[in-house]
Amino acid sequence: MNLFLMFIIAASLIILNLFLLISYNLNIFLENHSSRDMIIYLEVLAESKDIKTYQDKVKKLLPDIQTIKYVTNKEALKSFKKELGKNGDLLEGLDANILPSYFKVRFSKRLKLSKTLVKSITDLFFVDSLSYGKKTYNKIKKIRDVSTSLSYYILIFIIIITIFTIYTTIKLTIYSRKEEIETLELVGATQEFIIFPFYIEGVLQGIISSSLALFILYIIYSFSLSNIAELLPIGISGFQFLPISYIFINLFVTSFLGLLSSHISVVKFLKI
Amino acid sequence: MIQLFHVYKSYDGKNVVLKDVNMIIDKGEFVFLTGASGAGKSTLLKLLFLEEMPTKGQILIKNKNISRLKHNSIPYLRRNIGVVFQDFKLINSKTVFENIAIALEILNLPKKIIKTRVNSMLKAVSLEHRKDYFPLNLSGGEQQRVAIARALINSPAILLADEPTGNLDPVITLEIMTLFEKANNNGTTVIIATHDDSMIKKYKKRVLNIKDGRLI
Ligand SMILES: Nc1ncnc2c1ncn2[C@@H]1O[C@H](COP(=O)(O)OP(=O)(O)OP(=O)(O)O)[C@@H](O)[C@H]1O
Ligand SMILES: [Mg+2]
Repeated sequence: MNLFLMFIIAASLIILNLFLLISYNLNIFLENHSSRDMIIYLEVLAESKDIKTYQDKVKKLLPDIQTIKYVTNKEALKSFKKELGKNGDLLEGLDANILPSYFKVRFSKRLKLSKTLVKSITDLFFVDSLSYGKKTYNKIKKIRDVSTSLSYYILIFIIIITIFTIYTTIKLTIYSRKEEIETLELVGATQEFIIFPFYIEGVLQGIISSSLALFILYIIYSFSLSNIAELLPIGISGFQFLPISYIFINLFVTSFLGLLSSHISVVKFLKI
Repeated sequence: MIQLFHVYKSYDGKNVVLKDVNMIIDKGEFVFLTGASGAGKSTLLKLLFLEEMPTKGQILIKNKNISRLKHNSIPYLRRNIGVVFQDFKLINSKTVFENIAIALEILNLPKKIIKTRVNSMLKAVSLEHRKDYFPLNLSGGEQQRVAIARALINSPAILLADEPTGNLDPVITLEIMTLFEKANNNGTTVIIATHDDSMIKKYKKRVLNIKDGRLI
């Protein structure tokens, strides 16, 4: 086993997991903050007798609707007054007709609206506007997306680097044990008996590298918790370490890569 | 046990090392293979455990034509044949104990059994005190005895020994020959390549003589 090469794998894994950590936390943030509600304001002049038709049209356009509630402008005014509390008097004598009626839509899933979908709703002749999401939401989403796609690129890089380094290490081991392997063959060892240790070595290298990477990342995480959390608008409490499933995926993927690369090396250099 | 029919061997396609070798060795025989240096003794032995393939001819071991053996059955043939290599072929990164144990480890025997068997074999070749030594720290004769111990430890059906007493003093030679005879009495077919005439005279066994690649 080559310690230096294992550090290279570990270092690149740290970078990958750093981005995964960021994406993961932003995802949590987005999930908590994205509303599952949408309000579709109707034109002030929309005919109340056509509400049923409007509602059907909206239902047809939007998937995963849990509830859809029609709120008349009178009810809207009432709740508006309630919100203002003791200042509710301010609205005294106001005509409900200056407020739009609206549909309050709640989705069963988190909202994922495409531009075209939004456009087709607002294009409905009775719809005035709709409100959903927020600006920060979109901004964070952008950061998340950049971080996620970066981690994909890094992942590809890591796959190449890991395969190459483990392949090389195994190749060197095979060369240094050439005589030993030949002797083993001559005294009656099966291929499996001879190959097995090389596979173990490859898998171990993968597991050790990723454990090392996760350990170092955890240290980085705990020491810079406050700094990172400040950088991202999500607060310290919201900033979590990678969940156990990510850690297992890490270990699984690296040990698989170890197995794969030792296999390539074994097939190529032991002529099996 | 071992049958050769019209066996030829050439390493490079030009020089023919073995020419039309025919021989039959029965189960339980004890045979000396002699001949001058370069006559082809080692080559003949190598054909028997498939380190080399014959260029022409048939070799039968236990009535099986070994040149038709599938690649993945070769290890199982070799487990029936203990070989003392002329150059010992010890693994330098392993201790004496581990070198001998390897012949049992490849059979996936339990560690405990391996330990007791290796220890008693170490006693038989008088190497208990060298148990944890590495081959490069041993004398030539000690290395040779490790090779002998490894060849004998799984009580093989056939023992092929290539100059097994070349580096041994008379006392140890006697010990080793006694070991070989003991194995032979327990049913192992023994073939020893040697050019030590005094040994051949002393033991009065069947002798196969190779000259220029031919059995005479
Ligand atoms: N791997 C090889 N490639 C080419 N020629 C070889 C090879 N091995 C042996 N030879 C040739 O085959 C001939 C017989 O060699 P072999 O080792 O069988 O002789 P030997 O009877 O065992 O001799 P010795 O008593 O010195 O051990 C020699 O001329 C040798 O040069
Ligand atoms: Mg020889």
